[in-house]
Amino acid sequence: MSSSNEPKSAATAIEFSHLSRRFGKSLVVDDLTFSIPAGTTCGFIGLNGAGKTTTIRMLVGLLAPSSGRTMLAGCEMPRQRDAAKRLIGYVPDRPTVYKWMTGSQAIAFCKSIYGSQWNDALVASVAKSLRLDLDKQVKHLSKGSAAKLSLLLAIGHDPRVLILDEPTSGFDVLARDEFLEGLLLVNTAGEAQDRPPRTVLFSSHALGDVQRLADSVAILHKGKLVLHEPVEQLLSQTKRIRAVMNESAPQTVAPPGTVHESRLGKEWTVTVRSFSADQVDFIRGKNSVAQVDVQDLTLDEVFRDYVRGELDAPEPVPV
Amino acid sequence: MTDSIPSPILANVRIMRALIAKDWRLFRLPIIGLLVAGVGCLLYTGAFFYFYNFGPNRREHWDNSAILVSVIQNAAHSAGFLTALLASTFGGVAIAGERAERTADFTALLPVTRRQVIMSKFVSAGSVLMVFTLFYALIFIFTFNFSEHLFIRNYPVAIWEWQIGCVISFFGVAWLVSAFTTSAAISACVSIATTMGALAWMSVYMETDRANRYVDVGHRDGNLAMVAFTVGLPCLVAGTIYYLRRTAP
Amino acid sequence: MKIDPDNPVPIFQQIVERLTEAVAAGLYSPGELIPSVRQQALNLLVNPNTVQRAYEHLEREGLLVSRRGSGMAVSDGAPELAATRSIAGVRGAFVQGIQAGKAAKLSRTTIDGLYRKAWNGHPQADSEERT
Repeated sequence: MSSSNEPKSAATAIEFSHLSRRFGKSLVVDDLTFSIPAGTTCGFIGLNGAGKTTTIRMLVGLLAPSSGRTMLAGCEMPRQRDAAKRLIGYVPDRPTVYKWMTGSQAIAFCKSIYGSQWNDALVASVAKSLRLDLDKQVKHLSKGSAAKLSLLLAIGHDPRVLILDEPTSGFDVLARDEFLEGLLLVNTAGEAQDRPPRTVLFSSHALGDVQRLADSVAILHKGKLVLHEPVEQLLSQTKRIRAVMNESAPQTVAPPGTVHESRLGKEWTVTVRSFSADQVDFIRGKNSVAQVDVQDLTLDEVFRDYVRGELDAPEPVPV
Repeated sequence: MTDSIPSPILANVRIMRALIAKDWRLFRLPIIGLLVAGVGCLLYTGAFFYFYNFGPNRREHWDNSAILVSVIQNAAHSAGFLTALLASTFGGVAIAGERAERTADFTALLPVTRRQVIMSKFVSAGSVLMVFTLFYALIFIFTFNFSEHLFIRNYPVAIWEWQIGCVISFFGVAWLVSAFTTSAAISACVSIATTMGALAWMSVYMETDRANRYVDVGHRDGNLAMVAFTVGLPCLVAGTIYYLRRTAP
Repeated sequence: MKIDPDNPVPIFQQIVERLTEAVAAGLYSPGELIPSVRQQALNLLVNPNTVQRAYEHLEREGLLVSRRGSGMAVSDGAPELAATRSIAGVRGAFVQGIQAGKAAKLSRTTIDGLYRKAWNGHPQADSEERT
């Protein structure tokens, strides 16, 4: 079982190293560098056009980088993509399975390609839990069912890494819950056999889902990585300090570590990273405030403030 | 993680079988086109024969069997040409069709090599086109002995060179173009325009070439075949190499 | 049992709180097995690691004990422990109410009056508890 393309086992399942991609004049992905440890789930978030889909396509070998490197399951993509294919499952934003196939035909097709690696029992149990109608053609399936089928086809060969690109975009609330349930099911399905947990990377606009499922979150903005941190850490360290000023429209001095600030009349809110009491003291000390309180934030609010902060930041002067 | 099946050849056969079956289904519309073209030409034959024998202007003193053979052979010849023309739709659907539907992304993530994907398309398209071409060739072979007075008897090889050359050209140009576009229709149209243009150019050239003005059918068809091969084969090869090397499916 | 990602309280914390409340309310008796990490994760639609951490936290606190091969069970002293925690939680809710009242610059009397009104209007308050 050895070949020159044998992937090396790695503690990091996914790695980006100065990854960039240019389309014509625009730099869609800009010097992306971070890595995702094996067995963890990473939520990949950003506005539309931030470069998430382009990054994911480079990761799975569907697009060549302009510069830099990306490694998936120990394989450099796209150079070693043939070796990586058996180790990865990919669920794209829109189902790519042949629309004239029924669920059963699609499963049979994948099974004949994967051979002995295909796990019939796993597929049957997951299909049952997902309540999929396997006799319907894909073109007659609803959005949610087609996505569930894509998920099923992506895990039938028991991949080590699962990559999903906005899998629940355009879903109604019930379909989204069902898909999340399906995703959790497929990720925990191997636990009875003491298999190590899968590594999952998923991009999503549903930040509530990311907060629920992800161990770490990576924020992308205009092709650049804003941060990559464990969710718990990000949420515990990013806080919003709300201050009521003594007079309207005074000059304010924001504390170090400010991500975003906004003013409305006498109310001044400052979102800070790496929160500590020093920042509250700073605000009290350097500004004329009547009252200060500190709020916890949801991932949704953290993301919005980070992005607004990026948008408000002055454009870097071209060298 | 190589396949644990003892024989990698068996695995390859299994994979190719699945891919070819999938591609035959993918080519359903062009295959229906071929059938329609064939049936259309057959109907033409039938209509012609009917009107010659039963219509208001029937000619009782003509040698009906010779006319019939001529009509059948012309129909087979036309159907053969239409088959070649429709090969362009095969070329377009093969790559561009899958890219338009994004099913190319699906196959790209499966553990099949680019080479296997291409082989499967060649085999599935090629087998269908070959069956139809052979069928029409068989009509000629079958009616060979009945066509002693007709010029077509003397140049069967040249005709089939031309036929195969056309198939390769119509398919090959569409194959190359579809690597750059997601529209099967555009690929097919460019292919038809290019190949017909090349054939037309050669035809006009031969007509205006005073020294060879009354060139025989074999020579004429041989020239057309040469043009078709010259256009088609490089496109086929270039398209294949390009598709094998590039990253995007 | 449900968790709310729109609530700024961390999900891990919410699970700890919900389970503590459930034990205090008697939904799980001492010795009874609670849903496995996997079942709970599927039920709540959260990362199993988060559930695992919550269970470990509760085990450290003494509310849960690990049963080899079966999963996690409620410990013998859990109901009392949970009640204490719940008391802390209720006090925390009152502190927040007072904070809100003070931010609105209400007097102690007004805030107490609001507290009484809340009791009287509460669907779960019985006749003896209304004044």
